[in-house]
Amino acid sequence: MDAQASGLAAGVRQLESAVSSGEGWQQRTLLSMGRLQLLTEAMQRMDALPELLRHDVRSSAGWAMDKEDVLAANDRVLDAWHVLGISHDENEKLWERRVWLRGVASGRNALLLDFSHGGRRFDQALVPGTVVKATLCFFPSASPVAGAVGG
Amino acid sequence: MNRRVRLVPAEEKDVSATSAAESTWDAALSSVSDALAGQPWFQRLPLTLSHAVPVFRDLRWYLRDAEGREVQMRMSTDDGWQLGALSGGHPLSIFGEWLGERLRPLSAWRGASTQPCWMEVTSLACNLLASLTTSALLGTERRPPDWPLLEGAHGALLSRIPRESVEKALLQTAGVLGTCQLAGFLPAKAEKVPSPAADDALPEDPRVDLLSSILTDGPERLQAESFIKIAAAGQQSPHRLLPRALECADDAAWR
Repeated sequence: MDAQASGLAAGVRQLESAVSSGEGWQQRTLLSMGRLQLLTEAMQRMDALPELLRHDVRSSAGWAMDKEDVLAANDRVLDAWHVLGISHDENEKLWERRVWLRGVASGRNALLLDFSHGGRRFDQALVPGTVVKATLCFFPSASPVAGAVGG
Repeated sequence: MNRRVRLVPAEEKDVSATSAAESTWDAALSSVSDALAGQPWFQRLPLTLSHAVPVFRDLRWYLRDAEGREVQMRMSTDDGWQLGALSGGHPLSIFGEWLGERLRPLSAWRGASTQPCWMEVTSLACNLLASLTTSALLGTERRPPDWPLLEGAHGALLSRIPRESVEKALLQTAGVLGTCQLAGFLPAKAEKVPSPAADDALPEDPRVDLLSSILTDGPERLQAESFIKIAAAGQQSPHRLLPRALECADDAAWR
């Protein structure tokens, strides 16, 4: 699996866990395979897709978003953001930290995604129950529910 | 990417982080439907459910909403019991990642509190000193320290530490953070303390040595018999033997 398409790789790994997920595994496996199928087909006809969905396909496949694309989308929100929760996951020594935020005034959800290789070292000690005043630059997406990064 | 943002602890007067949350699975999941309608490949979505009760059944933890609907939670056993104990059967607001058919809870909030009463264990260790501890244990060459970024007086002080010798800088930083931690220590406040026990009017049985040997070496039937005799005489067993007596009860219960 192409190390750069980490989203696809994660999808394939998910198949593995779906197969061994106990009763009803056939249906879960088929569900995951179906979603992967939609994704690979969407990747083959990128040019025909609406612009926002094209960004979603790229980021779902796991390609990093171009900084220019994020800036061009210009979806900036200045707000006081509640830190709702933080999750850490490790996969082959790559730690991923997801910080989930919610804007006090905008009511928008936001996700700050960070990676750290070899250990769980992240440059900010964000803690649930604190409020972060910041302008966030949202990734272009057809459903910008989550998927944002600070700028 | 090095972003510096300002962290402000939420104050009581602030709106609580979960005030906008829905109280039923139906309502909370409608935003999941909307998101998937926009793009179908989300692996996880943020979700908050208020008035939710953690329920343990068939060796699994579920989250029950105000309408009695339940969704299984993806969490470690320790996390589950801690969350269950904090709830005590009462509703909490739970924030987590929606994984398609299950919820991975990340934080729990009581009432309108601005501070979470529970977090997934992995996020607890994320304090400033903890990130330096890994470098100290593994050596600064294998694991370069993750220098804390702080604003204000602490940040100014930390920024004055020279970094020529990484080992020395790590110890000095730990010294500053450690002193701050000690200076900022606050004892935890007990929320509910049991009321003092009523005075004990019964006299103690004076045969401490005899009872001690019975409880230590005697057969179980003799132990039981001696407690019956003490009670019949209107006395109680000596306080000093209470731990041993409780151990006997524990042994008996396991047999």
